[in-house]
Amino acid sequence: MKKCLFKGLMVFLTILCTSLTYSQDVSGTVSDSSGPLPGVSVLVKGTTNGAQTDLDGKFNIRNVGSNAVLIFSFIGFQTQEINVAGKSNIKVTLVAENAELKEVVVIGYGSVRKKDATGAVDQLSSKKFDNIAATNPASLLQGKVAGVQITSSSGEPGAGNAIRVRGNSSLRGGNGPLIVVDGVPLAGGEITSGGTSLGNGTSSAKDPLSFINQNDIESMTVLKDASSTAIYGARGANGVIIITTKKGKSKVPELTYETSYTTSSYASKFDVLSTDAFIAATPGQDANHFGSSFDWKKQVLQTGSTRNHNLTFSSGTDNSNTRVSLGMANTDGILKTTGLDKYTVSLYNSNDFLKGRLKLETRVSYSNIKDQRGLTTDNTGYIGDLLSSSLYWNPTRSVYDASQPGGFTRVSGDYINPVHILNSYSNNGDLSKFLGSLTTTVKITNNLKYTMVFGMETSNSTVKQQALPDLNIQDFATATNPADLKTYRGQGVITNDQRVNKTIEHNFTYTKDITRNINLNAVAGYSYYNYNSNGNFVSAKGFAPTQTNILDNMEGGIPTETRTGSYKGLVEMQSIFARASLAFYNKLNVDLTVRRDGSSKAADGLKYGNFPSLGIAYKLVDGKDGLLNDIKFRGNIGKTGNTEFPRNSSVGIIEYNGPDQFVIVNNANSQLTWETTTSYGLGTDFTLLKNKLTGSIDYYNKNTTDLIIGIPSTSGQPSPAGIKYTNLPANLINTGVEVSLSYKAIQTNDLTWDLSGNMAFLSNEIKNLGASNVYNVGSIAGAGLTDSYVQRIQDGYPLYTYFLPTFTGYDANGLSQYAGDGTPQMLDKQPLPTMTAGFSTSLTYKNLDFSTSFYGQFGNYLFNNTNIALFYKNQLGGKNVTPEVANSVQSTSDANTPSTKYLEKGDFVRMGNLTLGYTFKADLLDKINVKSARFYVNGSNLFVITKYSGFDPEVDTNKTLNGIPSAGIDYLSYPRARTFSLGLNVTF
Amino acid sequence: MKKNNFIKYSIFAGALVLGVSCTNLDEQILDATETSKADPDAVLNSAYNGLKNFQDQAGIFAVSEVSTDFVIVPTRAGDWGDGGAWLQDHFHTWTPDSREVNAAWKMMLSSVYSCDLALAIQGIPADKAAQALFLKAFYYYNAIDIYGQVPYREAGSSPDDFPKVWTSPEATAKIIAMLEEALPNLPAKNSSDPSIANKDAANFLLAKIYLNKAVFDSPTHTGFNASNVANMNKVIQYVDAISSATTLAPDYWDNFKPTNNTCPELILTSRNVLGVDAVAGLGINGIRSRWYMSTHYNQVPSGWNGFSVLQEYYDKFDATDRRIKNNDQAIIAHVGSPLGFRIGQQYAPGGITPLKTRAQNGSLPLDFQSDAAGLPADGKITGQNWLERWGIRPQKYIPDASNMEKPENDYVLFRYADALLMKAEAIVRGGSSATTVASIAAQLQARQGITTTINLSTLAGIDKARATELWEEGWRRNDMIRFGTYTTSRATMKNTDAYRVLFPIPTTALLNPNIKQNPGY
Repeated sequence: MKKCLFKGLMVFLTILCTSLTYSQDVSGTVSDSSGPLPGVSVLVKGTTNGAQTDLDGKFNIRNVGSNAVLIFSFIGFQTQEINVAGKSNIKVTLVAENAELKEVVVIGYGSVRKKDATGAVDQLSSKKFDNIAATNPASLLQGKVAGVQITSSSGEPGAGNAIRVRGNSSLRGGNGPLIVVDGVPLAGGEITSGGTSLGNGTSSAKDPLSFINQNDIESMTVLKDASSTAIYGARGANGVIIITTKKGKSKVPELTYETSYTTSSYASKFDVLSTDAFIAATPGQDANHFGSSFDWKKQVLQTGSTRNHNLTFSSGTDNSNTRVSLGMANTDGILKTTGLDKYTVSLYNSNDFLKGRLKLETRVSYSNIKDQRGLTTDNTGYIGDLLSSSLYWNPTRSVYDASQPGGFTRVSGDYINPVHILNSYSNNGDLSKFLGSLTTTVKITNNLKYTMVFGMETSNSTVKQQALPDLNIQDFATATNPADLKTYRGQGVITNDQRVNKTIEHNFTYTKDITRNINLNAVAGYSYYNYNSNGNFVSAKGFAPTQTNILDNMEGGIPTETRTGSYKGLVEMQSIFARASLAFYNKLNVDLTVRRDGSSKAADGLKYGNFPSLGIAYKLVDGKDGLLNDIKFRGNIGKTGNTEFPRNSSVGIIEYNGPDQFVIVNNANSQLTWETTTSYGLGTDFTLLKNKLTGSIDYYNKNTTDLIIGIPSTSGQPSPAGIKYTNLPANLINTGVEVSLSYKAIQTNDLTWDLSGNMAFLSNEIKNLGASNVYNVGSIAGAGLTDSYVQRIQDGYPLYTYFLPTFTGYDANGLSQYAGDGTPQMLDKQPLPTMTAGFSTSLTYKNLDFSTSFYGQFGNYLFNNTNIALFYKNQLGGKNVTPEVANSVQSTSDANTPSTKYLEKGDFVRMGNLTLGYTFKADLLDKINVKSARFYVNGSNLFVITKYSGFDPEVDTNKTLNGIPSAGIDYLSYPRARTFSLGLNVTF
Repeated sequence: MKKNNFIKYSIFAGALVLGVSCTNLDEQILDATETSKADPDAVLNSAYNGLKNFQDQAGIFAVSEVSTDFVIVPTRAGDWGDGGAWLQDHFHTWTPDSREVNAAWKMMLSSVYSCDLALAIQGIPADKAAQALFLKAFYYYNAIDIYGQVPYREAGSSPDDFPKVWTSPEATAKIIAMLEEALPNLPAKNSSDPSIANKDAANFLLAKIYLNKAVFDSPTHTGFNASNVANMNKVIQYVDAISSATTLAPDYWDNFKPTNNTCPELILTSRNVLGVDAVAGLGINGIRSRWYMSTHYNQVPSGWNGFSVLQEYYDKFDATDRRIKNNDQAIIAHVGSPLGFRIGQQYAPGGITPLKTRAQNGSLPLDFQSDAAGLPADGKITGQNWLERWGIRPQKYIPDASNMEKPENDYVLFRYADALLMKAEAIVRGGSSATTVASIAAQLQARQGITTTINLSTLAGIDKARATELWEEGWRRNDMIRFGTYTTSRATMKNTDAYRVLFPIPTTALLNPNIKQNPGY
């Protein structure tokens, strides 16, 4: 008995001891390739026994069986399962999850796994552009997304960017996509006045995106097709770019400091004759040789530089996180007296209440941009502006002349001294922008969520332009004082502009698994937008000759020459929308969206439009191993809209310009409503070759009708003289194919190599316009070119087709000869590219990283307005010309008639960026308590391969004629720069 | 407690949801005024603004003078090329897309619109309505003269409808009716401000219409050979109805001096005020273009070197006729060369220092000549010898030394010398009057410095008298059509297309299905 008891006890003890031995504590460290990973979930498989790694990546779990399996999981990394196998200490390294199809993309009013998206959505995360210092976030997208084309209007710091997603869907302006920043759709449009440039021409306004500090951007998502943009209804026709700013991520307080220094220099091979070449080219014109020397590149251009500093602080707890960032960038442009100073502050804070039932996210960002622009314009006449006079100034003539007032040479009233302009003309803008939003998310039940977004976007801009009285140019800043009948010069203009835009959005999101295999995600909501603008200006002319502080003493001008004006406007929009996304058996996804939009700009009775869309995606292959890993087919069809016409276009209005007189402002159309784009597309997303190759191919067809166009008033006379905005029953059809691929060539611990490329083919055509309806567009400027135009919109042709006579050469007397009778013809050439492509690659080896990107455009032609206005044989002598003109056989009496002589191919390939970086080793940094540090060298616009002879083939000078914009005309665009930067990012 | 908080938060959320109500999306006009609510006096002034269109050198003026034997605007190495607009105008090679065709259409008809706005105002006083009606008739007169058929909008019709069209004879009858309706309520001419529409102006315009009625009544404007005696008697009747306050000025140039608002000969003008930009916001050039369009860069004022008088027109005059050679001392002191037709060597202010062309074109003596040798058949001057200096230059108004940019010279539209010539022409064409053409000729000849003989006994003599008296005043095309010489071949214009007595309807205007293109185009 005792023996049995003792044996039983021994067995029991043995069992006890054995199970005690099995139920051990396991501890260890989890890290990734750069260091310890806090917050990793460690779970004993089959149980609920688990833990999380702490700040040092360490974990400790009790009561783990010695044959248990531990599951390590963390977002963004591949889950690992490791058998304890009796060990008590385990070191795990998690590998980042790279398959792009697992990534989550932001779409309108929600986010979805890329795998389940039924539309064409491309997302660019900050990793792809963190090392490129750009003054404008839009340029970060250049060449990276198939079908998205970014053209900056000039190389000027902060210059506006034309963003086109899948071509131009509209004849009028407003071809740009809708930009949504953290759920707040921006009002769009220009926020600083372009400036009247004191009668010398007008210049384009700055880009509204330039206020965003690129370091605050977490990701930029481009929604390209109907199924993804329909939820934005009346403003989604040209695509949508959703910008998400960074939230505080880590639970550990983190301080990051980033700094960079960039130098920029003139990057084009374009030049005019040098002093010696000029003398050689003008034999016998001794009256035009003044014995001195002038080199525009030395006296008007300079080496530009940008100094950039950014400080970011982020921290978080279990139910809140905060991020604050401060940024400062000071840029000097490559043209003297031009530059940009930008200061930004942004704050993100989110707080969870009621155990996660209520979440409040506050975002505030404020930025102030002060810019200096020279006298650069888009449409100056024959007298010229700063750039044109730098080019045409006689290079044997000195710009200085002690005997003249002010010490600058004055040739005549219509021959400008560029250095005198640098000295005596200034154009300074001060723009403050505030963007704030409050997002409240309430989790009503497990399936139902309510979100409210209140957003406010304000901007205040003041532009001050001043021409000092020592400038003596014909028809510019000059007036006669009736009191003493003398002529006085000098002018000052102050323009103020304020915008206050409010957004209120409410939406409900409902998710439910209807059955085990059918899942529903539905969104329904209401939004209201209120856009307020107001502004005023004052201008004064004719000041005392010695006055130099005109802008601060405007009352010193001739009293009868003081002008003032003000304006105020309000646009409201409201809409309701709903979307249902169904997922069947993890194979088929169906998205159905409907949105009803109303705008106050549309005419009475036509204020609302309905925009439905349908998207379907079918996963043929899903998550398999081997050569074919994921293949998804998708198709979509839908309607989107566009209301880009000025407010008050549907009601006839007048504005008084005196108590007894008025000006008829518009030619109203009481049937004005918006244009609709019906589009459909097919595409496929795939991952192949063991998850190494990902890509997508898309075909799309966009058909825009009710095209908004400004019809010249001749058609409806008797009527007001202005253009009349009308919805044309014509169709503008854009079709294209997009291909994007990315390949992970090498993926080891020490060495990685990625390549990605994209290509898009586009074409457009206008149909059903009516054979006799033609619109002349593409106005050009210069001597003898008043009211000249070079493009035409005509039925059956692509948009903006060139309409010119064909130049066949010079005859024996040096006069231009033209094919046929020399009348303009519709050519087979147009200014929008038919193919765009981008390529980028990055390489990392241990701590070094290298990346470079290229992009190009092909198939477009550019019209060189600079050449036709300034460079022809008659000008050589009194003015400078290019070597081509000096050496040509053109006669001095040959006219500068618009023709294909000035039409050049605009194809180009540009090396956009080249970056080399070094990430300091973790152990080195631990000694100085630094978490990570990276040093990099970056070059931008290093070279461009092109046949175009002007400054740069990427041009978009604003050449609107009768309210219809144009493309492809190059007129004195601010030259583009080549930049080199050094930068350092340190995280504490 | 937790439940309470939850309720509180739901109420807060609910209030938010309900607090934002739907709005109606009525468009608000915050910085302008609806057209229908415009101030009546201001509306009438905007109707008068249409007269300023005549001051620009392009549009209506270009159509009326550049297409005749008076001036040509050659292309000088690109200068004035403007897509061929000027040369098309002169060589009669214009198309429905040509710039001047479109500009003149828009100028006249948008001015008609402003008059319609004024006439639509409730309770507009009778004299103001009469002025608006007169202006409407005048703008339509010009449109009928150029295009024949004209569009119109009935009072109260929707601005989105396509306008209907009157044929040339219908339109002529309408404007006669408008003027007859306006006449009783128009004010008498204000002796110091002939820019206000007045009875004399209405009578003048009626005379002008009846003089041209044979042309206008033919839908293709080819009736110029028919002279209807009843029409001619109407011409005489209306000229005689012009008040006695309107008389010939002793000096031709009184009509064109800066303070010409007091000149008794002027019947209707477009007013300019010293120092005020008359054309601000209208997109046109003001009266200063009359100097700038033809002076050379090195002259005063430094101009655009464009408009040039043809030799055949210059030859109509006696070389010393004051109307083309006003070399008063004050003028020579101010601008260096006489006013009128500038021919020969030009001088700097003071009249002593000779001027040269610009250095890049050879610094040659600035000697204006309209030699046939210097003007190629295509209108593009190539020889360096002629490039800058080709062309006798017209200078009509006396430059205002106190303000060349914003002078106070009023732009002359109707004057009494024209009325007298109309009466003489009506008599020669069969009308009866107690006055003889000889006495009218004597009146005109009696003015200071008129050395060219005025003979009004034949149509040819009247043609020449009108050309010499009314040069650059916008009547030449109208006269040439009436005398049958507009489409005949001449030294610098060889296109004899007879249909070009009518300009084409602009292509964009044909979007209106009620308008059909004029014959021949």
